[in-house]
Amino acid sequence: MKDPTRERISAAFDRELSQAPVPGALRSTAVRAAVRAHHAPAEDRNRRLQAMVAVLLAAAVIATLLIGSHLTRTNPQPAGRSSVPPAPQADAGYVYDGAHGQFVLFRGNGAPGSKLGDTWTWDGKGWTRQHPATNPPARVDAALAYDAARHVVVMFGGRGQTAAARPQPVDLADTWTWDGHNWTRLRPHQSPALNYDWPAAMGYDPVSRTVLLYGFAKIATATTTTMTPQTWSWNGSDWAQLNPASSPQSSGDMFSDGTHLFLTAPPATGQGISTVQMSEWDGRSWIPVASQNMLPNPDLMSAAYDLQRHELVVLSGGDTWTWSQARWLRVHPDLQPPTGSMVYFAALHEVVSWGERWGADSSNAMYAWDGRTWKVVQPGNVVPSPAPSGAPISVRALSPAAAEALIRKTVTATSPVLLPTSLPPGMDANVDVSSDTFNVTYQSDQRDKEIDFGTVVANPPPGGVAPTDTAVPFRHAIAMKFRPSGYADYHVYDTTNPTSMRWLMWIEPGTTTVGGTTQSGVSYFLSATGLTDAEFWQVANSLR
Amino acid sequence: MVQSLPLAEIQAARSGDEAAFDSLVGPLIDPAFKLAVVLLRDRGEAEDAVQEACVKAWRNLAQLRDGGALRPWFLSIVANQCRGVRRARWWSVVRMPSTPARDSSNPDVEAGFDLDREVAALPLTDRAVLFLYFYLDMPLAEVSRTLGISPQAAKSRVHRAVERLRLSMVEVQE
Repeated sequence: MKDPTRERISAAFDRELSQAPVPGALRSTAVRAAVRAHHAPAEDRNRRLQAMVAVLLAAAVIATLLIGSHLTRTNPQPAGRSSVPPAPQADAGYVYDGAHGQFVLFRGNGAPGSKLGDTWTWDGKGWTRQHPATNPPARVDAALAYDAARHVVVMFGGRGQTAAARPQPVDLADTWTWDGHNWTRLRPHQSPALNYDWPAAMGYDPVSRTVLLYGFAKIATATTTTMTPQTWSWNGSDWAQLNPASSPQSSGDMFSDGTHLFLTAPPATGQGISTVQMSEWDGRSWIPVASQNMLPNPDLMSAAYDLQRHELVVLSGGDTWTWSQARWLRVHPDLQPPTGSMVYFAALHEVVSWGERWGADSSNAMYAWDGRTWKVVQPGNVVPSPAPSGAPISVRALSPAAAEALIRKTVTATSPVLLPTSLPPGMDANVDVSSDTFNVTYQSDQRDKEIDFGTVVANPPPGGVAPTDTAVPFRHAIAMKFRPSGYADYHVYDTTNPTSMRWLMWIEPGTTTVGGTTQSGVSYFLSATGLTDAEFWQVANSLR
Repeated sequence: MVQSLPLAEIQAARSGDEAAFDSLVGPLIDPAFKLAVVLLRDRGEAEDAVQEACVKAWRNLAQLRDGGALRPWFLSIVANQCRGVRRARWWSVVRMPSTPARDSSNPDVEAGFDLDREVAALPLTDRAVLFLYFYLDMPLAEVSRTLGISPQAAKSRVHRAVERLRLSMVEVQE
């Protein structure tokens, strides 16, 4: 039952304590000092302790640097905890359990077609496979949040499957809590009915001291299907739908900076540039947050707020970003993890990232962000399987010259191989290449300019040419559907934005040999974001 | 709820295993620091108090016996340490926590702002009992063990503190 007195007093303490955050290295320094004090002779123990207090500030800095090795060293493990992590899982539910100081993982997909539904916890030193008396049904894309007012983890919904002989996907609308030992199903009077084609996000709102859920309802008519955003509030016993005046139109991540709740999601209108919009919950609506620059939006990203350093940390597109003081900054860590399942691990005072959030192939290691770089705090045990013969090679962060050398050396069954000889300065390149196809992505350092070029896209794309496309004379293009010979198809996504995404497609005279069969013509596709029309054509006209 | 103690880790911690000791008290450092801030109203002193409490906790691991609960045991050491710090102060000025500036016409926010001031002005014994009971969600039995008072006294303090805040009375759960 809701207890307003408890909530008001707790909120008052919350506000007071937000002025005195827990020192980052307090745990490690205090514990170390206590154990070392035992080894000091009794007669000078007090003196040593006083001296130790005097050097604690310096020790705190050193301890922060050493905490990674402290965590990864070998120690006697209590029963149940293991250094062996769970196998990599895509679309798993995860959250930081503030009451128990644990990363909680509710796993999703297992082998193809199976769903696991098992619970694992990581306490900063090792993994524990939990064996709760009650297990929620297996699911993927469940929304999880730590309810700081009620000191439990809340899990809602996700996509499960029916129990039929041939299981079918089913969107779940059940609410569970995790108390550190067991799952309990709750029976609220009403529950959101969300569709998980687009994942939902959930977070704790420190202002209202409720858990907010942001997801999408699928509304189908005879002619259209729309995904409508919905915001719901959980007070510990029931769900209530809220009616914000404005909402982002895509799914994203929810996080709190300790005083307010935020949502990162692409905006409703992109103006031809795919970016992430930050919105803040003001108690009634999602309000866009002004930013000095924009975060490019790859399809997949993950985010967690670093309460120690007061910045949002984002993994996306193979890069690490921070957001603070209304500015996005791409940083250059020594070690770059995959886009993992990220939380702020309060007991370590660091953001951690486990595995790969959206894929199940690459990693099950735990990484921690120290403000400058990532470090492995719990190794994984995944051995990458060798790529099958003939599979594309993927290489990241090459110079344009190195990318060109790799492509020209590898592509032997397609001719001609065209590559730009004029690019905006300061770009790096990611290459996917096989003997007959290639794609190269050039990006500026802060990712505000991007050029994709390659042979991997069929021309024209499914659906044909749009009415807004224009035919432009280009090279000696072979005639293709909708366009006569000598012309390419040119498209500007949003003509009101001078640096809108734009693309050019054509068929170059030449040959491609796939599986021993030679085809006439090479389909090329050039797209760019953040480039003006003139810059785009400078790249296009430099192809050699 | 009293949980069984991790005896293997206690034994390992007694023999000087830092990791084992950390697994026992490490998760309690955050609430301990917050309790110390509530009692001392000073971040630096709270940090010192928690560090000293850790030393005392390690020395007194033998006090942890079957049936004892780790959290009230450790937090009671922190609370005692804070009392000692307060007694040792040569000055008597009560520092009020700074409250962030707010720009709001929302009456709920204003009411919360007033409550912040009233909570900050409460006697430390009342602040401690409210923090443990409401904020840390401790059962009354744990509150009483942490503060070294009887459960009945803890219950009375909760009632008294809530009355002072002029909030509606709550049913105090044992």
